[in-house]
Amino acid sequence: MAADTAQSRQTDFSPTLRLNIERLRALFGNSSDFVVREITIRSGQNVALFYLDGMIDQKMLQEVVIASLMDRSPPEMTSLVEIGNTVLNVGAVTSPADMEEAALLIMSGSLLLLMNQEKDALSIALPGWEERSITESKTQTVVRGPQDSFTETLRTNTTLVRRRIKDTRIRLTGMKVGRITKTDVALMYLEGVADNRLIRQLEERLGNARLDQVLEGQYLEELLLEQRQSTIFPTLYNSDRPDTIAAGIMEGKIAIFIDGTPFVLLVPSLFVDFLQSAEDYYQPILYSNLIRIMRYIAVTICILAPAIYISLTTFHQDMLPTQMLLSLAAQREGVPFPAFIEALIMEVTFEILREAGVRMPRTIGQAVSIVGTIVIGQAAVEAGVVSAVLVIVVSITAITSFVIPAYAMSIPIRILRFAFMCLAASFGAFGVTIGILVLLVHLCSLRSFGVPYMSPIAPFDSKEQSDAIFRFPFRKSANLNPKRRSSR
Amino acid sequence: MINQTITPRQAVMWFCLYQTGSAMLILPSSLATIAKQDAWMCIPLAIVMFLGVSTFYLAIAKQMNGASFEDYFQRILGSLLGKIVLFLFVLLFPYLIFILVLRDLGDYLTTSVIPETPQAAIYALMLAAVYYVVRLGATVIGRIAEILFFVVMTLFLVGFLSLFVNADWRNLLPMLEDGPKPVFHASIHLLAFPYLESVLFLFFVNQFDHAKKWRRIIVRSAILSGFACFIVTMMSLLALSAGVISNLTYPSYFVVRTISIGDIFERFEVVISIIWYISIFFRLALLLYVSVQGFAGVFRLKYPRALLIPLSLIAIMMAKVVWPNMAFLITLLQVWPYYCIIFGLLFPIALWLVGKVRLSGSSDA
Amino acid sequence: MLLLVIMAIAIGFSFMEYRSLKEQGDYRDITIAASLLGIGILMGCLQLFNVGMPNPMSLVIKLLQPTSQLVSKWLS
Repeated sequence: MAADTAQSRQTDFSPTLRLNIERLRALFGNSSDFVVREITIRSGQNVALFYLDGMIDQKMLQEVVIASLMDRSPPEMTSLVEIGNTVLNVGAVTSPADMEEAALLIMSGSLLLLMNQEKDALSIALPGWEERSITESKTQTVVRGPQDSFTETLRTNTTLVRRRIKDTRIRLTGMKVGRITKTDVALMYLEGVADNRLIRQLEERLGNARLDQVLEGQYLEELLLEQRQSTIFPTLYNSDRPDTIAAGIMEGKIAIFIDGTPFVLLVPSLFVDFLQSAEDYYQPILYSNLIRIMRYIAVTICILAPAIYISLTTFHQDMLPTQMLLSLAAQREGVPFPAFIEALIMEVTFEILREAGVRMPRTIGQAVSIVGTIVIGQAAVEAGVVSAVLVIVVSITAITSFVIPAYAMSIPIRILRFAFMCLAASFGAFGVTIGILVLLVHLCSLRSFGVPYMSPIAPFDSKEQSDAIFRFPFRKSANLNPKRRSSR
Repeated sequence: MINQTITPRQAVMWFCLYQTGSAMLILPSSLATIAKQDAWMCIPLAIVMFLGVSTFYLAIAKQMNGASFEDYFQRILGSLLGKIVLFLFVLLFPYLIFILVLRDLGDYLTTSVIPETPQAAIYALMLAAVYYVVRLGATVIGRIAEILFFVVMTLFLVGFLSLFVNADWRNLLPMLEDGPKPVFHASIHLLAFPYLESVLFLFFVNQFDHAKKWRRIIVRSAILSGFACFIVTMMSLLALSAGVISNLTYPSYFVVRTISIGDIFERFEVVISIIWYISIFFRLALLLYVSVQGFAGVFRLKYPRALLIPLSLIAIMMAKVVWPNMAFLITLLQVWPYYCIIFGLLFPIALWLVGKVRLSGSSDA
Repeated sequence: MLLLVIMAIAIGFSFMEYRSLKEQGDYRDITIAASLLGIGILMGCLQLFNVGMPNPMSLVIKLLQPTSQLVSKWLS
């Protein structure tokens, strides 16, 4: 007997309820939110309930579980499994094999039931924690269209998408990633449309992940990226809008939901995806396409505006109309720095202001933005530190950077702005052209999970054009086709 | 770098940009010097002649029978002789043109655009971009050709067609004043440069299934670039006249400067220079790609990438040496078509004949 | 001065390339590439010390000028 207990692992359930209670308490380190409730059911057997306070729906616990256990349990001796089958009128009931599994279930919002003289255990999922209500998206707002966005709970998020795609081909694969956090991660895709190879690849990579913690999508992003490709451009799209994710799934992409963050990842993502907004589909065609053209122009301006200013004022003064040249020269008369330094100072200042604005408390925000514009802009010009034209250039750059719908894409663009400024300062228009060439080459060489980053523009795929840059009328859009994976 | 594929569409665009890049800037002047106001007739004539030449290239491509161009050399000339001939060919044709183009770019930039920048810096910057793209392989070059082709061609057409406003049709008269001989002479110049450089496209035959497909590609790109050259020459002739053009070094650049529509549409030469940088980029990319492939075939390297940096470095050093002054360049340009004929026509003919002898000999035995 | 910087960058990048080649044991590739690199560096040094380098184009012109003059006479 003694040998028996020595061999059985510390994490197995023992028939003695008292022992189980002690072991579980020890496993949770006597945490103050770990609750043990012992009740006696009608047959006289002792049943213990274990849960974490704050995670369980107290109402369900009291009115359904405990009430049915105390009132409706059979009067004769019974087993836990039978109670689970006949008495408990609740939803998901599972039987954890050992204490480790049971602990994980408890920490995910389940109730554990143990009975005296029984080795079995029952676990009932009764999640009841407080969560943020569904509000509108803070990062991707639309004028017309759904206003809901994801919350921090996985199940809520997958439901939001499920409700939008009522097709039996939707598959949801769940797994836990992160050795310590054991975060729930779910993959959602449309069977037959999504690339099976990619699905398997993702499952494998997530399954073999050697991360301790997964608190947000970025942890997984760096895990899933292509091995030998280093780039500042995003190859995974993230969004907190259910309609965007649903649209992506229907195109054959795979959505990765992560418990604890409202941002869902979408794989694979191409360059054109980052310059599309959900609103393009909710507004009339002509307007949407014009806005898209404007977006591309805005991206170009955002990257090139300071560089063009620098190259024009430093190298190619003859390119400006005479009147403009005269007024520009007059403005730059008192400025002590060359155009490059001037632009660099202003751009860096603006980036600092921007970063400060993200973290500013609401109440001070208004004041600081006024301070920002008036002080930095106006006073700097009047003090002769920068020229007025440059303030215009920097403002245009800043505003156009907000036109980019996906924040992930505005990051590399803001970084590249500085590279182009350096090139313009050294080599003028030639340098800017070479910079554009190198940038395009880099973009063309990228792959997002096997798909060339710049498709469907290059390699040109006429079937896929229906939504790349211009949105075609819905009647003409391609029907549900798996995206062809081109090797070119 | 070796196992990269390129689609036919991308290849057409790349080759077309390659040919436009070289011809665009200086072409009208060299044609107008010889054929005067009939310069525009040279282009269709040259294209027709090129169609004939391309049938001949097709014969070589068929003889290659799926092998790469480097292997073809060694197959018909034997291992050692093939390597030597391949080495000399690559050194004297694609690599030399590479150095010349680089120097041309440097000259253009240091005379007109950024005079105070040292030439070596310009070479280094351009070659950094070319190195990057060639290292990534033909696939990426094809994709970027696809993207930039439309941009370049649109800007090109917009620029040159807007010269219609200044067009004076009398500049084309009288037609055939000196008879057809000057036209013919000029067409030969045009055929030689840049169309006989199409012999370098033989390095790409093994990317496509049939030799016929390859021929269709080079014919299409020739027609497209011929169309572009035609527009350049025609517009330059109409807007300025043959006399003016033949005295300019960069006639197309100059002629675009004269565009002034409504006081707003001015300063278009900036766009033309940007188009030119982009075309030169593709030109350098193709030449470097071919050179590296060729040299790698000579030394039987597994990773041609390793040669990229040494070749670029040598090119930077040699670019300064290649012509000491403008007068030398003018003389060089006079003999250049014949150099191209040697490598683009006579040498392939010889190769083909040898191939015919060797291969039919071996099939007999 | 600029040439030195260019040569230094070239050598630096070459080392990076050779490292990946060394892993695969392609010593032959490395030797050939390195010798070409050596030629390039040599040319660079010659230029730094203002030693004149022969111009191959003079040879080309010398060889082909007669042909060019002949054809011009022929066709004009």
